[in-house]
Amino acid sequence: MSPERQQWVNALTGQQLGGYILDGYLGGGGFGMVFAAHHATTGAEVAVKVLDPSGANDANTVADFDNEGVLLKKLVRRSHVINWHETSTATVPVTLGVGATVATVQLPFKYHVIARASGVLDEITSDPSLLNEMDWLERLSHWRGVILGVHQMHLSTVAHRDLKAENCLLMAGLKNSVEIRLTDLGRSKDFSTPPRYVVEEYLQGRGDKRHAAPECLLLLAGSTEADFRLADLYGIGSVLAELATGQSMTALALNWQDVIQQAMIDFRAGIQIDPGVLRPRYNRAFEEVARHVPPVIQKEVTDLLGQLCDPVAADRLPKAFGRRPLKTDGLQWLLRRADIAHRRLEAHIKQKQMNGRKTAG
Amino acid sequence: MSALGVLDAIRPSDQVGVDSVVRPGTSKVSALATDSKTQSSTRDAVVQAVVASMRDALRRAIRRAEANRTSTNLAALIQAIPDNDNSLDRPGLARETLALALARDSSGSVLDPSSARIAAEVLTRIGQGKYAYDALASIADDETLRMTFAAVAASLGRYAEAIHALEGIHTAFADAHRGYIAAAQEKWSEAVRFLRAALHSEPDDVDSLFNLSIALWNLGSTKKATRTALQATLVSPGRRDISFNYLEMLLGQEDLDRFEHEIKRLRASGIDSDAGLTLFEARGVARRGNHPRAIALANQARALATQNGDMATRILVDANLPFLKWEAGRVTRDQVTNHLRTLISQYPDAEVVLIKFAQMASRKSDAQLLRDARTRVGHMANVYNAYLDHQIAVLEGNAHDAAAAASEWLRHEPNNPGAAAAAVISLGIGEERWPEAAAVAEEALRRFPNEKSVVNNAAYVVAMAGNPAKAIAAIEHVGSDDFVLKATLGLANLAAGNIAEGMRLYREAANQAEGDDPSLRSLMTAYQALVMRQLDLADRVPGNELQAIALVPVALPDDWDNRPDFIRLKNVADRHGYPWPLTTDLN
Repeated sequence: MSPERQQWVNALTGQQLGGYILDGYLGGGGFGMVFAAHHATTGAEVAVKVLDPSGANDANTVADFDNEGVLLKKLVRRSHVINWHETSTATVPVTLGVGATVATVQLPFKYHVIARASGVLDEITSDPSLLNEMDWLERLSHWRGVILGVHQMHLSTVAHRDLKAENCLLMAGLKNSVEIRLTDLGRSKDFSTPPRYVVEEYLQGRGDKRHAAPECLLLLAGSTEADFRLADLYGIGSVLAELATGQSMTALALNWQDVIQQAMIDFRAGIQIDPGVLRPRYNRAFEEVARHVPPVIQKEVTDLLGQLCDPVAADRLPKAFGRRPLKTDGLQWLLRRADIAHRRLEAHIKQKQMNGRKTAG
Repeated sequence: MSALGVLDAIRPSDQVGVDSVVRPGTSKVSALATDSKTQSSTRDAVVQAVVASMRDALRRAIRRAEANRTSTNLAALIQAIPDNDNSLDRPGLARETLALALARDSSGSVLDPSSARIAAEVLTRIGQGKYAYDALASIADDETLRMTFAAVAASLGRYAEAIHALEGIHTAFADAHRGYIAAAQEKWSEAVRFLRAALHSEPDDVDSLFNLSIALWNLGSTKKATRTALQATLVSPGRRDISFNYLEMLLGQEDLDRFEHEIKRLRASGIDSDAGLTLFEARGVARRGNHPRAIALANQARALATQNGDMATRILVDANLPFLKWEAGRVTRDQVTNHLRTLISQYPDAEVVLIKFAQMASRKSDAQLLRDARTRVGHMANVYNAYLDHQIAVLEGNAHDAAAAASEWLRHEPNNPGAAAAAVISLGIGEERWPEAAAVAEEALRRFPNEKSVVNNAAYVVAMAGNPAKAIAAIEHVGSDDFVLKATLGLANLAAGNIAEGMRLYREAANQAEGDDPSLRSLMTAYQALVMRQLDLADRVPGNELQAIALVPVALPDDWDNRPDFIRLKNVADRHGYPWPLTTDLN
């Protein structure tokens, strides 16, 4: 944590924002600090995401934070997206500085109150010793949760635009299950509303470059509903790659810095690269991911990855009898395919167990 | 290289060689530089935003690695550090990543193969491939890491180990690597086979297209090579090495129209400030004969290279510029050679300077400098080694070694008329292995019927091997205005028994040559005297009559024993027991 961030965390811990008391720092991203909190009256445990005051002077950062609040509210009844309680601003006294320069000032803080998760998927995927312990049925269940979250968002005309294990919260679900809920909607986009920015602003997409779809790296991303949906499909595939290897699909397939450097030069020169030229590199990465997958579902997983993470965005959608799926069906087609893989693996494991019992008998 | 003026303008083809091949999937960006001043502010703003987001990605990766120092997070961090950022210990972090990733999990498998692969790639990229090699050498149970080991081993020149590591892996990527390894070893046919197999599955694999073009070129399939190089530029239009490879091939084939079209296309796409491209333009303009313009462009390229910190191109310009000036008649050959001597001391490990010096060196005393410089440069492609072996042997007057090296050079560069000319002259005039030399000469005439140096040397050899009519026809095809060709036409006539005509042509040639360089008359006289003996003209024409129509004897230049062309003649004379200096007095 940077010293500056640490100072804000120290200043805010124990403070009350609206009806919520901030208990401790959970973590944070570029512009948000997430605190464990409880309701001062009911004691309900929540998480409070506070806009880092260092970013409060940046109009884009503030717009992203406000946008997140609006979209969380819009998605409040959707499953597999983080539950939102409220968005507000509270002015509280904070003590800043060290030694003789310490001062207490009243400062306004924007915040969202959301459900508190029990963990983040990334805590597992970024630690190979934990990831290797996770069985593939569980991985596929988590992945299905991600698909379901994006499906729900798309049905509400919202694209996530920054899908990665780091933005997948683990929540306690029914019957001791663990459920995925998507979070961090700062970069999300309601595609039922017109673009907020000029076309050039969308060329590189939003979100972490290490997870970005190739059209974003090549500065070819678009600003239409279809563009946002297709970039999310890439993100879903990339989370599957993370569940398999710990690394995003982009990190596995590309030296993404080189691709961006080249793209900037091409962009300046007015050259448009066909993203299809990246296919050989992606195919190598798909092969690499496949080596981590149980043989019985290797083909399904490789085929799915090949489709979802196709460098040519338009080829990420399936075709059945020459037709694309209807938008109103959301990602039903993908959920079905994830379910097939899950069931095949489940059946295989059961069969193995039965064979084992027979042998033992 | 011609029978007279031994070392003129022969050289290995420029840069379409083994050093050009790229490791599949790992090539660094070598993009063509554009002139940012000509771009719109909107584009600049987009680029600035991209740069900012790359910095964000790096900050995020640092934060994550600090929070949880796992191989996965460290691999993400080392991938996010730009090549030019020395503020973080990237080599140390990459080594740490590799060590953590290669630990074994509870099932005995490698803990994190993907992060290990990323770390090995980064280490190779930053010149620490040996560390990755040592770490991966014992890993046999993970296919990803076997392929990674193959790539690392190949980057270190350990090709046999690389091939061994790929055994049993049947993927397009593995074939691309096999193709690369074969190309790096100059096994061009094998390289073509594997690269075609890789491209069958992955037709847009730009590295394989690039490597295939080089392999085809070296096999002599220049048209197919150029088509493949063009295809690579279409797949990856902004990549410098690929664009330059295509330009080099067009230039190598003297296809100046397409060459200029490609330069125009690159310029039109906004590439204004690339020193390398400007140097290419200079070379193209020089081929068109516009030397003043070529010199101006080369100076411009030098300024751009200095401005962009592009040292490699600057050295290239420094080594080429004196040639352009020489071709324009602004400096003498000795001045060029002296300039290159200075450059050799300035850039002791620059291959291009060494090759250029070898091209210009014309004194026996230069041989030692070449030998020393070659030791300093170290590893070079086989074709350059063969070329240097040849030049050194010629300078030292070692006909046997020169013939062997020239044959080797021609084997590596069947498309280079200079190599063909060198092989013909070394085998023929130097070694007097006439039937063998004639076979090479006839093939050279078939391939390069319009290359004057080839035609001259081949005609000399073919005539001496007993087919003067063919020699005369070959010279008449290109014309004999040039005094060298005229002298050889004279020789062919002597061999055909047209003594008076042959002698007349010799006299004309000698008169022309004297205007260029007085010592050439001496050389030509010595050659004529040698040929008269080799053709046993004394048996056919009375000695006095012969002497009357032959060239008037001229004294040898004072430094003849430092001049390779005279040394060669002296060695032939010694072999036969002819007197030295050779005279036209055959009695």
